[in-house]
Order: sequence, then structure tokens, then C-alpha cells
Amino acid sequence: MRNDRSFSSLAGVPPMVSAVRNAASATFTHGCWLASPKKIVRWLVGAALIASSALSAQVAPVDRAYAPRYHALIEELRCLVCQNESLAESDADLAQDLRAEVRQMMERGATDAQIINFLVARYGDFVLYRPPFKPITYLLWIAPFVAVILGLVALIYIICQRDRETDAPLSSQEQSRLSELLDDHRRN
Amino acid sequence: MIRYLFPAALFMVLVGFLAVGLNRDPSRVPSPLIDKPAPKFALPLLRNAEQTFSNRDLEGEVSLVNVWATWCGGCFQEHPVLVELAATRYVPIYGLNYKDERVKAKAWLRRYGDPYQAVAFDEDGRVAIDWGVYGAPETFVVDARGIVRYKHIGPLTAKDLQSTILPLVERLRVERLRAG
Repeated sequence: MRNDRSFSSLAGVPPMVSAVRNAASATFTHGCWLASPKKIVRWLVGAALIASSALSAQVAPVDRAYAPRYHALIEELRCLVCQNESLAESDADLAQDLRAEVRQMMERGATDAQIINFLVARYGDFVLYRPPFKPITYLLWIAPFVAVILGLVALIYIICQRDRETDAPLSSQEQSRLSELLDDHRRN
Repeated sequence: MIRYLFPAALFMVLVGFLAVGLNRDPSRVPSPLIDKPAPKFALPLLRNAEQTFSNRDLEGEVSLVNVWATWCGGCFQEHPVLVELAATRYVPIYGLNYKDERVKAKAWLRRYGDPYQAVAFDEDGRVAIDWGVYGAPETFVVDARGIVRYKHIGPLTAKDLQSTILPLVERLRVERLRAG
């Protein structure tokens, strides 16, 4: 099991960086490190790497092989603490824990579906920004289309109504009033 | 007439949806664990790291499982309510100490009173994830068969106990007696 699962800001230091860190401390202990500029450069690079990883440790780096998958997935998952943020965006403690969980599941070879099932079994559909299509969400998914169709029907109804009003032939009274007006106009 | 009634009716439907939706507390996410067996776990006890506490220990009697931590303000708020409930010996309360420090947690219980039959020490919060915990405090009602029956999110108040938790405990006990 994981025994070093601390949640400090350095929790996500990847193996590569810790190797650099070890190398850096090795140069410290073996001989005079000031003597070799090469070693100083190496140490500085190592320190910069550690510092940068500490700064960006909120979303811990993942293996390149599944980094795109990982980042796509945590964008799709909602943080339960600050609900308008995804797991990728949130700095909440729980979001960090859940990201670690997602990462570890991927390392163990879990598929996206397995990871999503894992989270839904614990936190419900709420963790999904894209809720599944099932009885309780039928209204959610269908209502916008129903609204558009209702709007179209109303629009067509109103247009037809207006057409009928304008297309109706003039009554004999209207006809005589019209010729009266036209006559007046011609005379002037 | 329909020209005015139809939009008015639509508006009323909208008002209805908003009235329901806006009166809900979005921070209370329903738990999918309800009516499912308590998640399997085995954790060291807070006071005795050698001993483990597992989901099996929740079976046999209706109990409350309270997720708490010393860093959690709501836990401090609800603590006197739990201490008072424990004093009545009405229902056993088990603690799940969530992402805390052993020394701090023990000192807290010494200082403010200890309402728990046993406290499982979930240092990395891994078991809490299995329980779908997304913040402390949370309190679960687990029936005698070890099935989660209710989840309360946020600090428990005396009112919550009177109106919801205790009647539910009573109902679950009756249910168990009926089932034999």
C-alpha cells in the first residue's frame, strides 16, 4: 500500500524530481561542491525543478503516457466542496485527495469508466459534470428540446394567425370606404 | 384569452421549479450509500493503534458513525450535542477521525468530553472517501445489519436529533424486532 501519502504541498513530487533531489544532496555530501561549476549548475537545475514542482504541486504531474487522459478526466469531474469547480481546478483538500486517487487508479491500469464508477459509487452522479441519461434526469435532458419545439409551435401559430388576419378579403363596407378614400385622393 | 393565459401558465411553472430549486441547499449532496452495506474498512483505533476497528464492528446494533476532526469548526459546534446524546446511552456513537493528528485528537476528547464507543483513526482520509465523505462533520445512521440508512451532512443539532435521527433509530430497532 501507499505509505507516504502525505498531503503537504510537496506530496506530488514525481520520482524523477526526487532522483534529482537525491543527486543534489549527493553533491553536497561528496567532496567540495563549490569546486565544480558543472555541479553548481546541476544543483541549481535540481533546485529549480524542486521549486517549480512545489509551486505547481496542486495538480501533481503524472506519467506522460496517460497525462492527456488524466487531465481530460479531472476536467469532467466536479469537486464536491467547491461545487462550481472541477477536480482539476479546485484546491480543496478533498480535490487533491481525489486527484491522487484518480492518478493511482490510472497507474494501476483502471479505465476511465472504472474510475468514474468508483467516484459515482461514493459521491453519486453529482461528481459528473455530464449527468447520465436515466429516469431522474430525463426532464433535465429533454426539457430544452421540448422548450425549443414549444417555441417553434407557438411561433408558427402566431405567424399563421397574422397571415389569416391580413389575407381576409375586404367586406363590402370596407370596399366602399376604400373606393371613397381613393376617390378623395384622386380629386385632390 | 389564451394569448395571456399560456405565458402566465408557463411563468407559473418556472416559478414552481425555481421555488423548489432555490430552496434546496446545494451543499447537501445525497449519498448513493443509503441502503447499501457500510463500506469495508479496517482502521487502527485512535487510542490504541494496535487494535483495529472494522465495518464488522458496526453490526449487531443500530449505531451512529460520526466523521470528525479537530481542525473542523462544525465538529466543535456539534460536539456538546454528541456528548449529551452519549450520556443518555440511547444509541452507540462511533467516531471516524478524519485526516487528523493522533495527539491532537486525543487531547480534544480529553478536553471536551468523549462521546464515542470507539474512534477509528483515518489518517489519510482513504476510508472516508469510501464512505463518500466530502467534509466534516458528517453523521451516518447504520442499522443492526451494518447497512447505511441515513446520512446527515454538517453539524448535528439537538433539533436534528429530535426530529430525524432519534425517530429513525427507533424505527430501525422496531424494524429489526419485526424481522426477528
